[in-house]
Amino acid sequence: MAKTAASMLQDASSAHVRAPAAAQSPALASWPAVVMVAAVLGAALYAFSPRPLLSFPVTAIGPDQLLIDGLARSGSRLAAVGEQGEILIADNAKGPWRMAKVEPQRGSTLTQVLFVDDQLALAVGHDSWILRSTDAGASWHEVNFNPELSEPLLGIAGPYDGKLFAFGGFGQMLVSTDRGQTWQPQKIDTAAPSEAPKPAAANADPFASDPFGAGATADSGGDRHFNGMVQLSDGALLLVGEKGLMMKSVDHGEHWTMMPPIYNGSFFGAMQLPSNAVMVYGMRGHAFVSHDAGKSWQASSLPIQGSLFGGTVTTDGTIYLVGDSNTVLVSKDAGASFSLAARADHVAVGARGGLAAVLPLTGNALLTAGESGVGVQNLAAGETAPRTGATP
Amino acid sequence: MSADRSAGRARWIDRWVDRCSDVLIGYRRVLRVLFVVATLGFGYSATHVQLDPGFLKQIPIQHPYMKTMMEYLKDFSGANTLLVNLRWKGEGDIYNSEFMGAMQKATDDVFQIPGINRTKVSSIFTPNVYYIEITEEGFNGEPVVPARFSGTPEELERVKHNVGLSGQVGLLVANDAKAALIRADLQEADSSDPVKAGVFYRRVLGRLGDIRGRFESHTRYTYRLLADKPPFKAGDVIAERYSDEGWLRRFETFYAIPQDGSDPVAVSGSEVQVDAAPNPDYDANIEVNIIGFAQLLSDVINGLLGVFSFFLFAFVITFALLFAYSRSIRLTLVALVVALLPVVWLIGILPLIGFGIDPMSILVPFLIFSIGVSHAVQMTNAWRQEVVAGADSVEASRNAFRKLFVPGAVALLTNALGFAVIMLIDIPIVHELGITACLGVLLMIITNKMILPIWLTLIRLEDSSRAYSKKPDSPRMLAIWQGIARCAEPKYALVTFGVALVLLAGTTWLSRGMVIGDSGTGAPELRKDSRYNYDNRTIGSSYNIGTDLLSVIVEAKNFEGDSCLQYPVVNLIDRFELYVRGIDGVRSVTSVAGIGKLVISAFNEGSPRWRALPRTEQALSAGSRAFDPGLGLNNESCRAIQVLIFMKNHDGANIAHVVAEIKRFIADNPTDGVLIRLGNGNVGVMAATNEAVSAAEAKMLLAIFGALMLLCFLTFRSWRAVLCVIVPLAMVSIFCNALMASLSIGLKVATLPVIALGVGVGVDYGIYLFERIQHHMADPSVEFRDAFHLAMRERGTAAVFTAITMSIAVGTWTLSALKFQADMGLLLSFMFLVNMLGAIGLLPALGAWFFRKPAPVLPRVGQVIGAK
Repeated sequence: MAKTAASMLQDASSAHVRAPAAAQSPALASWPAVVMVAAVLGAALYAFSPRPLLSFPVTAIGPDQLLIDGLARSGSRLAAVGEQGEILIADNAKGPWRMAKVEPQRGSTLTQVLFVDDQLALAVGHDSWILRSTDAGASWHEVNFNPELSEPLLGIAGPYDGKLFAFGGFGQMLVSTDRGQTWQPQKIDTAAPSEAPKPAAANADPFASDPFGAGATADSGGDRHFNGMVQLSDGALLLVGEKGLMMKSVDHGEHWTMMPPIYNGSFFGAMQLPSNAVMVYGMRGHAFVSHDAGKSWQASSLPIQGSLFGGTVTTDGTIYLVGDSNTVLVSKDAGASFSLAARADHVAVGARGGLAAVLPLTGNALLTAGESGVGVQNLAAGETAPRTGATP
Repeated sequence: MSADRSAGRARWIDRWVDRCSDVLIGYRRVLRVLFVVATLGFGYSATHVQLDPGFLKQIPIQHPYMKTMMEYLKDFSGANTLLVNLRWKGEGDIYNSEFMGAMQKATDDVFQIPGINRTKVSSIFTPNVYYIEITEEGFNGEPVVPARFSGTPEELERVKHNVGLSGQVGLLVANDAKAALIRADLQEADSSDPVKAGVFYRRVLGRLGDIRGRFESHTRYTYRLLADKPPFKAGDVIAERYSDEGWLRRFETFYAIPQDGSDPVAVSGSEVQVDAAPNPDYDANIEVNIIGFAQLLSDVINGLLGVFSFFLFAFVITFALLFAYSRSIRLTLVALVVALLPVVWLIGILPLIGFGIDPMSILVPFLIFSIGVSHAVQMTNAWRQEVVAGADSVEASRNAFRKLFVPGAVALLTNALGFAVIMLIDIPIVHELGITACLGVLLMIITNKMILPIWLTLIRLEDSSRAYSKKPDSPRMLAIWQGIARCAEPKYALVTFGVALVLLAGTTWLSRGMVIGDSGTGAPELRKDSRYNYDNRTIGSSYNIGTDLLSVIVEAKNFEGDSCLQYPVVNLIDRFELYVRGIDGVRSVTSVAGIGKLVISAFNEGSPRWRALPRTEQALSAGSRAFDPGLGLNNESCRAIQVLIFMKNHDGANIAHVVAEIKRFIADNPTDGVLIRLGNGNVGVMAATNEAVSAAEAKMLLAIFGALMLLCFLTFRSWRAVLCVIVPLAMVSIFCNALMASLSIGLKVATLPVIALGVGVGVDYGIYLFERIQHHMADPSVEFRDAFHLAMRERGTAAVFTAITMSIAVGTWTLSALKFQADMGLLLSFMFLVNMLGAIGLLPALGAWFFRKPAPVLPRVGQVIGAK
C-alpha cells in the first residue's frame, strides 16, 4: 500500500519534471487536434443556434373564406362585396381576386353592389353604409353611414329615370339623384291597411327561452324589410320585401302603394326578364313571374323547398336562382319551371352553406357567392362540380 | 505549477480514499447489517408507490398561456369530451334500419357511462338535437329522429331530411353520410379521493370498451357469481362484457351495481364464472371509433403496464451478456442485484417524498438499473483482475475500491449533474424526472461504491472464471486491441479526424432540420398506427371538427351589462375570427361573433345579408342566444369569451406560426377594456410546452457542458484532457440532433432531456479511460499510444461492454406502445452507444496530438509527410 502511494508520488513528481518540456510544444504542434476541436465547437454553435421558422404563406383571407353577399360586373371587371366591409375585385372570374381600397373601412358588412356604368359603382351595407367608386371598383369612398341607427341596407337599384334607390331593413329607403354622391332618406309606410294579423302563435320557436328572441325580429313597429326593386315593363317601380311585401310606384318612387299579397312569405329579390316579364323570388322555394307588369302572377314550379337569395338572367333568357344549401336552379322556359342545376349531392336540404348572389359566365359556367365566398360553378351537361364542403 | 498541485492533490485524495477503504472493509460486518436493514425498509416502502399520471404535471404551469388556462379552468374546461363514432362499412349511406338500430343502442350505452353529463349527450337520437325549418310563419323545430322511430323507409327518409335541416352535417353526421357521432361530456370524478376516482375511471374505461365491443366483438361474456355476496346471490349476472382477460381475470375487479342503485360492489375476478356466447349485436358493417381524454388515458395506462415487461426483458439480456463477459455466475448475480438495489431504494423513497410514478419517471428505474450495471461491471471487473493476479477476496475488494472510487464517484456525480440540469425545463413532470433520477444516481454511490466491495469480500471466484480470465487473448482479439490502439497514433488520428469531419459536416447540416414540438395529428403520446390515432384520423377526416384545438380567451371585464352586447367587444372578436380564418394551418374558427351572426340571420329568415353584427345593444341582443354560457363559449355576462381555433394539425412549426400571427393581431388591434390572451386547449398546452422546451434547450446544453468541463478539469487538471473528453460528446450531441431530424422526432418534453442524459452518462467512458491514461502518462517513458492501449486493456472492455448492455436495456423501450417512450429509448440507446465509440475513437485521436511527446515527434511528422 505504502509502496503504491510512493510510486504515485514519484509518478507525479516526474510529471512535474516533464511539464516544462510539454509546455514547449504550443498549440501549433498539435494543430490537427486544435482544428478538430474548433470544427466541433463551430458545428455545435451552428447546430444548436436558434433554428429558423419554416416559412408559411402570408396570412390573408382567401376569396373563398369570407361571406360574400353581392356580385356585380362591368365588362370584364368583377366586384364582390361582403363580410366586414371587404370588397374583392377581379378581372377574371377564376381570379386572382384582390382587396379593393375602402376609405374609411368601417367594418360593416356589405350586402349588395351595383355598376351604374363601366366606371361608377355603388355598394351598400349595414349601418346604412354606402360606398362609391369611380374607378371601376378599385377604390371606394364613403357617401353615407349611420351607425347610431344601425339598420342594414339590403339592396340597391337604378338608375331609373336618373334616380338611384338604396333600401333595406325596417322600411329604410335612401334616394340619390346625383349618381350616388348624396342620399336622402324617404319615409315609406309599409303597414298595409288590409294586412292580416301576424300568426305569431304558430311560431314553434326553438329559441323560445330567449327573452329578446321574438321582440327583436320582424315586429319593428310594422316596418317591414325591403329586399329588392325592379322596373316593370310599363315603367312603374316594384319593391318587394318581408312577409310578402309588394309595393308599386308609378311616379318614379315618389309615392308607393301596396299591391295585393300573392304570398305570405318573404321575397328576397326581383329581376327583369328579357321577355318584358318580371320575376320575384323568396322563401321556401317560392318564385313568381308576371308578364303583365305585375297585374297577375304565375307561381314557378320549383324542385326544392329552400329559400332563394339571388338570381340572374342571361341574354338568351336562361334564368338562374341561388339560395340555401348551395342550391343553383335553372329555368330555360322563362321562369315557368326550374330544375336543379347544381348542388353537391351529399349536402342534404337545408345544410349550411348558402348562396346569396350569382352571375352568368361564358361557357356554361356561373360565378356564385355566399357563405363560402366567391367561386366558379361549371354546369357542363347539367353536371356540377360540388363547390364547397365536398369530400373527394 | 499545475503538475505540482496535482501531485499534492494526489497525495491528499489517495490518502483519503485509502482511509475510506480501510474503514469500509474494517467495519464491513456492521455496515452489512445496516444495508440489509435499509434495503428491507425501502423495499417495504416501495410497495406503497402510486401511479400518478396527472394531467397538470405535464404542463409548464409558470408559462403565461398556462396561467390563463388555469384562471379559466372552471369556465372553459370542456377538455373531458368523449366522441363515439359509428361508421357504416356496408353499402350506401347511414340511413338504413340496421345502422339506425345500432346508433340507438350506442347512444343508450353512452348514457349508461358513469359520470356522464346526461343533459349534454348529443347524437341524432337525443332530443336536444333538433332541426329548424324556417317557414313563412316562423320557426319549426323538432328532434331529428321522431319520438317513435321504428326504422320504416318513410321514417328513414324523414330522418335524412331532418338531418339536412338540423345543420348537423359535419358535426354529428359525417360529411359523406357514412357515419354518425355521439358526443358526451364526462364530469370529473371527485378527485379529492384518489381511490374513488380510480374506481370511477376504471368503470368508465370498462364501459368504453363495451361500447366498442358490442359491435366489433364476436363473443359476449357473461359473468356470474360463484357464491352469495350480499346483496347478490350465487348465479347472479354481475357483468356482461365483450372481452375476457383469460387467466388474468383473477387479478381484475368487477364493479357490480346493486338493483337499488347504491354504490357499486367490488367483486374479484376469482369469485365469478364466465360463459362465452356469440354476441347477438355483432355487426360486420359497423366500426366503432372512440376518442376523448378518458379513452386516451385508458390507452396510455395500458401502454405503461407494457413497460414492466420490457424491464424483465432488459434484465434477462443483461444477465446473459454479463455472464458471457465474466463467465462467473456469482459475479453476474452480485452485479445484477447490486444494480437493482438503487432501483429498490429509489422506489422506496418515492412515496416518502410524496412522488408517484408517471409515464416519464417510470423510465428512471431502467436508466438507474443500466447505469448501475455499468458501474458494477467496472467494479467486479477490477476485482476479478485483482483476484486473478493473486489477491484474496478482501484485499481485491480493497484495491478495487481504491482504484475506482475517484473515477466512479466523478462519473456518478456527472450523471447526477446531467439529470439535475434537465430540471431547468420548467415542467413539473420533468422536474420530477430530474429529481428522481438524480436521487437514484446518488444512491448508486452508496450501493456501488460501498455495498458492492463489501459483498465482494464474501465471494470466491469460480475456477472456471479464473481460468477464463487467465486465458491469453486470442490473436483476433489482439489484432482488435492493436487496431483500436492505433487510433492513438498521430498518423491514424488524422484519418479519424477526416472521417469525423465528414460526419460532422453532414450531421450538422441535417440537424438544422430538427423541429420543436410534435408532428401530425392525433395523440402524440401514442404511436401513429395505434387504435386511438386511427380512430382520431377516421373522425377527423369525415367531420368538420378537429381534435387539435387552440382556444384564445378574450377578457372584457369592465363593461356595463353583458359584454357580448357591446359592439367594440364582439366586433373585435368578429374581426379576429375572420383574421384567424386566413392564417395558414387553421382549419376552422368558432366564436360568439360567428354564432351570434348566425342567430341574427336565423331571426331574419335565414338571409345571409343579415349575417352581421349590429352596432346597438338592443339590436345585438337578437343574437343573445349565442351568448348563453351553456354553449361553453363564454362565462356569465361575457366577462371572458373563448374563441375556438381548430388547427389542421399540431406540428410544432404550425403551432408556432399560428401563435405568432395571433400575437400580431393582438399587437395591431389594441381595444380599450378588452384583452386577448393565449391560450387554452390541447394546442395551447403544446404551444406553451414547445416554448418552454425551446427556451430550455440552449440553457440546458450550456449548463451540462459547462458543468462537465468544470468537473473534468477538477479531476484531470488539464484543459487538453477536458477537450479530449468533452469534444467527442459535443459531436455526438450533434449526431443525435441529426438523427432526430431525419427520423422526424421533434424536440419535446420527452426528448429534450435525452441529450443531457446521454451526455451525462456518456462522459463516464471518457472519465474512466482518461483517468487510467493520465495515470500511465505520469511515467515519462510511456507514450500516449501505450497509455491508451493499457487503459483500454484495463477498462476499455468494461466500457464497451456496458455501452452495449445499456443500449440494449434502454433500446427495449422502443417496443413501448407509448410514442415518447419509444423515441426516448431509441435516442438514448444511440447516445450511449455512439458516445462509447467517441470515447474509444475520437478521444485517443485528440489525445495523440494534444499529448505528443516533443522529442520523438518531429521525425514522426516527417514520416507522415514522407508517406504522403
